[in-house]
Amino acid sequence: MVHCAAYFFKKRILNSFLLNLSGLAIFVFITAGSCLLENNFLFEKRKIFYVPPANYLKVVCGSFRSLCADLFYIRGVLAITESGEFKNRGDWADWVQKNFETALTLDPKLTQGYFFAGIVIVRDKPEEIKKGISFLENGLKLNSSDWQIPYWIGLNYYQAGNFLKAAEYYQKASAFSDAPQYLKSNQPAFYYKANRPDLGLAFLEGLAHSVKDPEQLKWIEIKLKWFENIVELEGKSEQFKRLYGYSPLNLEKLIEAGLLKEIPADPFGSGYYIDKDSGRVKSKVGKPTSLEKSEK
Amino acid sequence: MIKKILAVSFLNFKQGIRDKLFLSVVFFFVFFLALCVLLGKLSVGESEKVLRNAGLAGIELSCLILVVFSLVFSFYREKESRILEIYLSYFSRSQYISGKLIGYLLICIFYLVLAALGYSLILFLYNGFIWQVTAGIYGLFLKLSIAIGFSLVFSCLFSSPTIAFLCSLFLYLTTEAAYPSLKIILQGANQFQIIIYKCLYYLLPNLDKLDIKSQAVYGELPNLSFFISASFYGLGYCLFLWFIARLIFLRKEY
Amino acid sequence: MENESSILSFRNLSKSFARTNALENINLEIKKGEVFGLLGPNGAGKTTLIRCLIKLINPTQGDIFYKDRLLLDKDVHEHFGFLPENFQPPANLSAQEFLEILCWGLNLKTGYIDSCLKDVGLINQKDKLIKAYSRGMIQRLGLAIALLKQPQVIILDEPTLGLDPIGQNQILSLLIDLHSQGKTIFFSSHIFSQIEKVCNRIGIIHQGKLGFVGSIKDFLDKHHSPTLEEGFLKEVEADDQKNTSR
Repeated sequence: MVHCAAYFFKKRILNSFLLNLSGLAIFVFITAGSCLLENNFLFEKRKIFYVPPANYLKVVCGSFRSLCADLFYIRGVLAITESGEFKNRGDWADWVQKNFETALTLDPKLTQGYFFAGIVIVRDKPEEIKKGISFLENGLKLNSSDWQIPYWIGLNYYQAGNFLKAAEYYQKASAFSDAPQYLKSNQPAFYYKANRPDLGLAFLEGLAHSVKDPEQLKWIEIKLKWFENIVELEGKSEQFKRLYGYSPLNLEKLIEAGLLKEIPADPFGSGYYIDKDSGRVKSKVGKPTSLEKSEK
Repeated sequence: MIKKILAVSFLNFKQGIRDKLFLSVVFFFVFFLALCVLLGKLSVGESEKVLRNAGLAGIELSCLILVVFSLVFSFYREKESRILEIYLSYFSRSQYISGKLIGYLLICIFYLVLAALGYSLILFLYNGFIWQVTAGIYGLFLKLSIAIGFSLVFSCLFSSPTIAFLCSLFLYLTTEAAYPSLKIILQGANQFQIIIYKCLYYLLPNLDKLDIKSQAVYGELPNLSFFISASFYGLGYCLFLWFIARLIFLRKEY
Repeated sequence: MENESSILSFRNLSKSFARTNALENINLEIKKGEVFGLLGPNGAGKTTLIRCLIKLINPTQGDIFYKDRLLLDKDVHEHFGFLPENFQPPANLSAQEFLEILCWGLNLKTGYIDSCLKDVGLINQKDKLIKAYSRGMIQRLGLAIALLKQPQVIILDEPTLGLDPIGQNQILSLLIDLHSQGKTIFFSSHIFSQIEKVCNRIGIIHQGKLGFVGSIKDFLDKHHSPTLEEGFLKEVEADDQKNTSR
């Protein structure tokens, strides 16, 4: 009786062990089979680069429009990493922009979407910058309440070398109440680069009248002084060119010619000079000397 | 009479929140919150907004499935299990149907509060919390109260729970897409058709008007008069649906 | 002229569903304090008659009177206790919770809960969830629900269906107990041994028509049969022959 019981008990343990072992074997087999399938039979998946029209999506999504916009936004962000899927960079840029366009049509307040589609995918080539500008200008029609959009348009124009347009859009951006102050103070530099320092000067004079904060006013006055000096020096340089038929090599030549009594002090500290390549008067940008003195 | 109605509503509420479906939906929502966090991480630059938006959408969809499914199938289960006959031997039909509606409104509120707590916790952890999202949840409650009303009407009307459930769900989805569809349809319609479509649009609940999710996620809210009028509209429509459900239920033989 | 002790009476009651006559010209009186058993094969119309009584369905023709006046919904809610066939209470509540809510809604004293549960033998399981109850316990709970409002008339539709012999005995004992308290009991069944044990009078219903109404002794004498089952089969056979000859 005892032997029987022992026999059945051992048989039960053996059966249990064999069952567990077979379970483990099946698991190993499935895992190995899965690896085999992946290594030998994994077919390249074809991606479908299609974005449904936003007008139809608006109908279908109902009040989940914003969520749908978020999904297309995510798709657009991921699309930025998919440049390798396209032979042509232009096609890739189109694909990214289509996703963001859909996202922004459904939810125009996704501000970063304008940034990705209008700035991130844009490089130095003029056609890409044009694409970025066009996208952002359409975006401005959808969302006219964010300062960033005209700012980014201005940035694109700056990159394209169209400084007047850059200044125009910076001005639009700076008109928003929540826009940062540097947008206002950067505009004169654009006018200067656009060969219209007079406009920059006029802008700064107008700005000085409108600003009440003493700290900001002080900074504007410094910039105004710097700009006035630039305008004066460039005017004298032009006069020199008319008199002698060639541009002066340095500012000292203007003093020698009697056109200038002395080189004005550069409020930014490093001094004015004439750039040999462009013939423009420039200065090394640093901290204004008046501010440095007050800090000391 | 109020006590009898509340007794039915408490029975439905207690049964509803202890049901496996309620727990399943809660678990589903917890996993959905994890998905929202992932979506937030993928949305570079707009993480907080996407997290808020996805969370609100998840609350709405999960609560919709919960209340519609739960109400419809509990109604049919009570019929099948003959407990309805016992209830009707205790309470009048009006009291029963009123209690059922209030019970499910309570379940909806309970779930929304739970979901809002979990959702707010996640938003706090990811620096995305703004108090305006709670007002967005109130808008969801008004929409869902209308969905509950429709579920009640269809449960009373149809003998099949599947048809009642599908009708409730599809009506909700249709009213979501009603306004943009109307705009498209009206473009090619003649005067008579315009009147018909507009009547249909205004007869059906305008759920798009109660939805403030897209504003709440940006921290913008409509003014107080909107909330007052939306509350009147939502609860008034729900009352209208209760009236229809009651009319059908009084005439039905079980 | 009505019998003074009659509590319920069905007069020319008929009910049809589409083209089917579920009940045809039922005339029946139930006396106060009696146990009346309604017998009939499947599909005879027992449940339909009970549903008309509880006002779940409206008869196509005829009326039901309660204490010599037309039966109203209010009478059902206040004075009738009902246990349907094969019912399932809400599984996620305990018996205590369920009865407490009903008591609160009806403004009844919560002390009734314990006494009802004690009567049906569920006092020790009152805090258990109903989903853990056996079939017998559910039937007893159903009886407790029916008794909660201390009704004057208790209507039971196949109360012992699905129960084992012990469960059946428990239910029958309860019914005898209730009868001794002066309650009027109207129940349907097709378990003849139970009918014999408990009922004062019986009614035989077949194909929507009420055949025999009277005491068990009169029924057995009518068909010269030793058992109720034999008598019932003869009654049904005779009824079938009558219908075919028409």
